[in-house]
Amino acid sequence: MRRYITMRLIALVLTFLGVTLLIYVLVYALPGDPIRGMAGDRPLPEGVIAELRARYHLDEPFPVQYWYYVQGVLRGDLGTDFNGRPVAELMADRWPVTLTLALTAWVLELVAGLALGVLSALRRNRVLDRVVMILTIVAISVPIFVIAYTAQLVLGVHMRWLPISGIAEGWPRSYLLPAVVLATFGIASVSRLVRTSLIENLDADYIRTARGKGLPSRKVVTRHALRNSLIPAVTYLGADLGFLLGGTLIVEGVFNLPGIGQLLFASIQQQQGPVVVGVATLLVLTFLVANLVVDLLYGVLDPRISHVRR
Amino acid sequence: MSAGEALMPPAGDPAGDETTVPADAGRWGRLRRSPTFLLAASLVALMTAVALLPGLFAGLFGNGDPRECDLARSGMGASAGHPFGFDMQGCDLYANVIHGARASISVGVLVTVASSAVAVVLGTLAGFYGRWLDGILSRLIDVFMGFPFMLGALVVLIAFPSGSIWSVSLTLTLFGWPTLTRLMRSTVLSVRELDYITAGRALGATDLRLMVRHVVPNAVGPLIVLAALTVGTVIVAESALTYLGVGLHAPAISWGLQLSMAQNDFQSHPHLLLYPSLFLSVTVLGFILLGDSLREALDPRSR
Amino acid sequence: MEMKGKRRAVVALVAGLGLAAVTACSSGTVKSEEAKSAVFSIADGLPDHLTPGRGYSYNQYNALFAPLMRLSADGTLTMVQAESMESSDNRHWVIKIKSGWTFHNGEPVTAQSYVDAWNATAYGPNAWANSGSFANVKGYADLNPAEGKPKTKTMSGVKAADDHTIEVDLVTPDSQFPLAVATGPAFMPLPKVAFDDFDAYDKAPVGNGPFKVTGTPNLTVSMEVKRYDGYKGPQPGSDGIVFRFYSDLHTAYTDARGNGVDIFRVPVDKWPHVKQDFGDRFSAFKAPALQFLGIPLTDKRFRDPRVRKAISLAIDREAVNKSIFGGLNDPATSITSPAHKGSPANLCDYCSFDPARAKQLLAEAGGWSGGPMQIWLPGGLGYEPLFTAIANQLRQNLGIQDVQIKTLPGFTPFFEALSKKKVDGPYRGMWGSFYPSMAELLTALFTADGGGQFSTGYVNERMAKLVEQGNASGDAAEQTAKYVEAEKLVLNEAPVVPLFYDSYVYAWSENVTDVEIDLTPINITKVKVKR
Repeated sequence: MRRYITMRLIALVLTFLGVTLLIYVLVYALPGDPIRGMAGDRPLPEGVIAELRARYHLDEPFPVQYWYYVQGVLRGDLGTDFNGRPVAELMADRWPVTLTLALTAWVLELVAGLALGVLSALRRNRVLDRVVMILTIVAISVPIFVIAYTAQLVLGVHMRWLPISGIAEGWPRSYLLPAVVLATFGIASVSRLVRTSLIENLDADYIRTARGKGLPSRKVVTRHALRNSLIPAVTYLGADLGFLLGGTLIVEGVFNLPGIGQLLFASIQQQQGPVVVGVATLLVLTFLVANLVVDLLYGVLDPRISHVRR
Repeated sequence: MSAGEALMPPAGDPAGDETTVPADAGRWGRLRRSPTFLLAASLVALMTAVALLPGLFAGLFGNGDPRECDLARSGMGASAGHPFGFDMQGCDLYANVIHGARASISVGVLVTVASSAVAVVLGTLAGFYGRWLDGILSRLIDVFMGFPFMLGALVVLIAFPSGSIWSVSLTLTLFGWPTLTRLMRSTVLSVRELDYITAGRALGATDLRLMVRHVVPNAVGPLIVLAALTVGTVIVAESALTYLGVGLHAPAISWGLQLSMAQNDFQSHPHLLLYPSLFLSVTVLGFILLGDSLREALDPRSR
Repeated sequence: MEMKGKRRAVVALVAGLGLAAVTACSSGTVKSEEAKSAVFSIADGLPDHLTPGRGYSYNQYNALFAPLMRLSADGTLTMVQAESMESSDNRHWVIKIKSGWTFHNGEPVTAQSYVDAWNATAYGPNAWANSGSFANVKGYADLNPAEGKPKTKTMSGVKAADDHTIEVDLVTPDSQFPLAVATGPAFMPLPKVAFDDFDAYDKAPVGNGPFKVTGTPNLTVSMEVKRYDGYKGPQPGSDGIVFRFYSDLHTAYTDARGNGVDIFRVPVDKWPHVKQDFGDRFSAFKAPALQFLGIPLTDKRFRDPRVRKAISLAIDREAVNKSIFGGLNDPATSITSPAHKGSPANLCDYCSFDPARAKQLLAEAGGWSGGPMQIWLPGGLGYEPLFTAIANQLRQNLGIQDVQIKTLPGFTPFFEALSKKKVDGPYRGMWGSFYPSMAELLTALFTADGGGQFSTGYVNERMAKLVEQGNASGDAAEQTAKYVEAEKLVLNEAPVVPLFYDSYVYAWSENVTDVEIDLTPINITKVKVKR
């Protein structure tokens, strides 16, 4: 087990290096001069452009640029954006917002997704199951920006139940609406996964055997069927925390939450290399750690899967 | 560990695997009798027909040209010959929604088929053999999944902004296969431990035969369900990318484009949002139900 | 309708009070003070730099700094920090400033505060964005040599004759210079403390304007400024401003409907709805700005001016304006707009909608045989509906089989495609004049060094001469006559297709009154907060 974790940690470091390089290459490959694009329709004097390009090493070939970046990272300096603001500071301001949003959404997925999935599996083909099915399809088939705008308009503008945008009112009020919108897709997916595999397991012979042996139905469901049915859902939820963190972009935009999704989107558009790499790397790292935890959880959920080499 | 734990592994049929996998004829027979399957198949067939022959369906009301536009009719409601009314450009909305089927469904199906193919092959290999193969693949999946989908898609599509069905599909596949592959891997991981696989191996079956005949059919159920969902989500993801300005571009016509164009006007012109959403939802419904009924049929354990 | 309006107002009031109470309770004394004082909010993008010479954050500059002069919406100049600005030859300018004004830290504002600030802005190695404002000042070239470091840090053309007199020498005479001084953030003064450390100053600038920063603003969520009691100019109608940062102004639109933010710029794709959603709480300022179709003049399919005129004549600007812009722009009838001082704005003989003549001109030019025609634009900025409509009209009115829009993801790749000459069809062009002078627009678009040159690809030397003559003239009527002659020269060759005169559309919540939109663009000292 320890060996397994060590291997995973080494892999984690390698992944980290690969990802930063990959992102740097991608951002570097974006067409056009970010300095020129910064001003929009207001063109900068050529001298200013040349000076800024030199200041941010944009006039150097790619390997040199990357080398400057890695050197900086090793010194603990993540670089600056093209306005001279440190990337570390930009991220420190925004990371808590995104983390709060994503975790709130994730918990919603976990609780609502599991509950709906279990309920509809136990009430298979009855009204509740059908209703959940329809809600699931609606949640999946309507794009998130449409859900976001509609929720914002109805609950924020017309009913005035929750703030329309911003984080002025803090957690939970400011985060509730965006988190629900962010979680709709995940709730739908989790509930369907749970429903599918729970039905499968309820039909399985060992459950029937258990029931035949006279074990109480509730105990059968919670102890055995549910536990075995959780694997696809755990896989999904584990991966989804990373997705939620990286997928807050549209929701942060619509609800104007100053998180890293917004930062990332703006930085990609403006081709702010160091910012994109910094944010993306942080996201990837978070995801990798979440993943590691999920893999370890497998072993707990399903003893047949073992990380010990045979 | 309680006493009940011993009951956990599916008991299976001790006699071996042949009896647990029903013959093909039985599967199809069961499928054909399932009303869910029939409904789903007809929905998918109808939408596919619309996607293949939009001209045929668009012309039903006499105004089949989606590009015949007149700003004087901008945003107007339904009228004779124009059952869905007009969009903000004054083009017939019905003709546009019908023509939107092709791009949207093409992207959805292309991405799902490609990702599923990758997932079945890589997921099975990794789950079945484990060890270094699994290690490498898992790290690769980590890299791709750790790359937030939106970030990756944005960067790739900004770097190569063709705005065509192919480039969007390729990009979505690039970031779509890992989810499916991971799921496939994890189900294969639990399937390979099943008694009849172990038994088959003991009886000297080749790895390939074991995988093709037993592992894949037993592990593919959840994948099919997720793949069916994926068709819908990909269509929706396309619209999200379009909303962010990097997905399909006009002159392409897609539901995603229609929805993202409607975002500013839907409060005063709800029909702009309603009809593309309706078609999209019905299509997604079709694919989900199809996935469900296929799972029922493919899964040897369900009766 | 009225009942409904009233009820909504009551609901808003109750909700507003509730909200104020909640914020007051939750965040202690600072906020509760603020709830009582008259503070309003402006929706804004994240500021890039808070030093006026360095960036484009006009709202912040207008709050923190006082300009020398102010250009009001009707085009008149009023003195603010300046006492007077005069010249006898349009080349040597003397600016007198008022005495007794101070920066927020108490330092007196002197002529030297201006001279130092302008030199710092123009100094090449500083790479400040608005450095180009001084391009016509003597000595600017010395600060921006083509190669190597500049040998001097000061422009020979800018001097402080005494504490209250600034003297400026221009390279070429420019009668429009006062307009440039009134509107350019580069012409604001800087206190001595700024020169200790530009970057530190940029985080918490000390200005000479009606509002001052409190502490060091954290540019993530919002930034507050408070009324500066020592301000000697027109007194602001509020106690402070909160700049709320939005990554997408569509959200500000929704927020303002719930009175969550007070003043915001309306995104162009919301223009058709602004009247319905905000009643008369919005303003469309007719800006001195031109939207046009640029034409790739090096492409032989567009070389015949009749083709370009045909394209222009095939566009029904009225219809587009009505359904795409909610009627808030004005169809262009010329290159310069009525907002450009003196422009007669009806000089274009190919800007009307005349599909018959369009088809005829195209036929005379040999018809269209270049395959699909693509209209290029930067995507995701709200331009798609406009250019889709234009593409539809060109297809239908010119009988060209396939006219499509071609979107690139944002400005950066769009400009890249333009500069690499990859653009093979008409493209989105736009120039918003820094100041409302015909000379500014014509120079920017059609001279070799013009700021908007790369988006027209057309240079006319004879026109440049005429504009120069106008600039040198001391007589307003003669200036205008020269500019009109210059514009006619350009129009003869139809190098661009003028589309619309652009508006700055702003709307506001029920919390504020007296919102005036002009070139600055928000006249923030006038804004009053409803108590």
